[in-house]
Amino acid sequence: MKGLIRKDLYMIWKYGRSLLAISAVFLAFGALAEENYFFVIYPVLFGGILPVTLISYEERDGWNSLCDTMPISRRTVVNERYVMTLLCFLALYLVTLGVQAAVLIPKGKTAEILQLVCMLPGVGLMAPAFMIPVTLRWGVEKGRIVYYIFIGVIVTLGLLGANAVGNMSGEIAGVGMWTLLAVSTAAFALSWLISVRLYEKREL
Amino acid sequence: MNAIEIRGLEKRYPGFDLKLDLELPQGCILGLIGENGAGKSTTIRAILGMIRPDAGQISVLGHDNSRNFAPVREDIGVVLDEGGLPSCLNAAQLGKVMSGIYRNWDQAVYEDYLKKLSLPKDKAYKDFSRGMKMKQAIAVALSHHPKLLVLDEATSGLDPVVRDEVVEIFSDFTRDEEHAVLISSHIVSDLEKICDYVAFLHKGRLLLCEEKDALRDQYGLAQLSRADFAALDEAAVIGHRASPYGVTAIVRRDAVPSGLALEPVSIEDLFILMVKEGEQ
Repeated sequence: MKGLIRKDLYMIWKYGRSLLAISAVFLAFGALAEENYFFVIYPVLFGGILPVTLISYEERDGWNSLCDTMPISRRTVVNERYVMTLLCFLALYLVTLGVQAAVLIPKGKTAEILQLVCMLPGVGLMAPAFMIPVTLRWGVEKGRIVYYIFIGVIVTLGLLGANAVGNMSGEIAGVGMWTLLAVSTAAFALSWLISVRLYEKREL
Repeated sequence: MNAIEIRGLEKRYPGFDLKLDLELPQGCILGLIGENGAGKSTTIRAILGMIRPDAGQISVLGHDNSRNFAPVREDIGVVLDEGGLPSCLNAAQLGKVMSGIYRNWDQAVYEDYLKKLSLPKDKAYKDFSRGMKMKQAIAVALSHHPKLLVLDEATSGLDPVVRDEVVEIFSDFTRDEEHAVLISSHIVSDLEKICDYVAFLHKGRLLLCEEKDALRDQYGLAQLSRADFAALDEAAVIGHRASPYGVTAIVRRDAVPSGLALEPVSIEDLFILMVKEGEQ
């Protein structure tokens, strides 16, 4: 797995620099624009999908086929993809929370930080949870379709959820947030298991 | 021991099916020759365990490739037609990646190949020419001390100078009697110089698998009039091509009259005429 992680880091440095730069800009806007979650969510979403976007470059290069001739099991290939996704998500999740904490804590808005702790994995982990199995099994084109559907669903649910949370009592909203965190973590874990099965059955 | 043994392999796709028995002895280079779509890549992918056969067994370096095959790949070097190496990486980075993948990775051997093949360390793989890409892929495939080298259309489109360098590398590799090479191409002349054995694949079926030198001993090329051709025993004719001036036929040397003038047959002629004969 060490070699695969090294390869992904080289590729992220090459192809992901622009995404990381955009994330930095969004983080800055997120810090300035109060209670505008759009700029806060996007860096975490980028972090989650960054390793997934590498699959499209690998598919173009024919790496999947060559990798399948190396002494690496397909299970390891999938595991590495999820480990990298977790690492990238966690890096941007923690940076985003740090920036938001620096802005919100002096204003005494600790509840909002807790809200972000629960809400951001819902975006950052759910997107790759849906995209990775589809992309590994059926290729990048179909993975991209899932990504657009996911974005549509997230925006719709985000709007509905924001209204619903606004109408809820603090206690119920809190339970909803923790549930979202649990569901997104469970979805990511389930996606990992499904991806291993699907990729092991794929003919390259 | 055979480096590769294929018994009763069957693989079906819509509009195409492959049925094959094949052996590659250790210490030899086997050329798998066939037109585009003949089943060469399917055969190679089945050997490497990338696709699941519908029937049959494949043994590679003495291991059944349907059971825990990943560790066996430590001893296999592969070069695919598409290259497959990440295009944004340079040779130095590729070396670092591969050292984390192959337990037997030998950085000194890799550096030696880069030098021998004049490959720059700091240039991205995507900026290489077709010949340089192939040389880079060969350097990677050989730097972990493999016992078996599998090359899918690796020599197609290479210029004669690079092809000569590649031939020399393969010859060095098979000096060790435990080593073997399987190389596929649709360009027969690419393989004519390199191989000890040749296998002809046509529409998913093996037309022939023989030692290259034995082919030259067994078959000859005859230029005949139509009448002389008609007088030949049908079983003696492997393939033929008729023109207004007569008939060019590939025949079994032991099945034609001893006085018949026969020229040496090239692998290319043999392949083309056999395929045409099959289609007639």
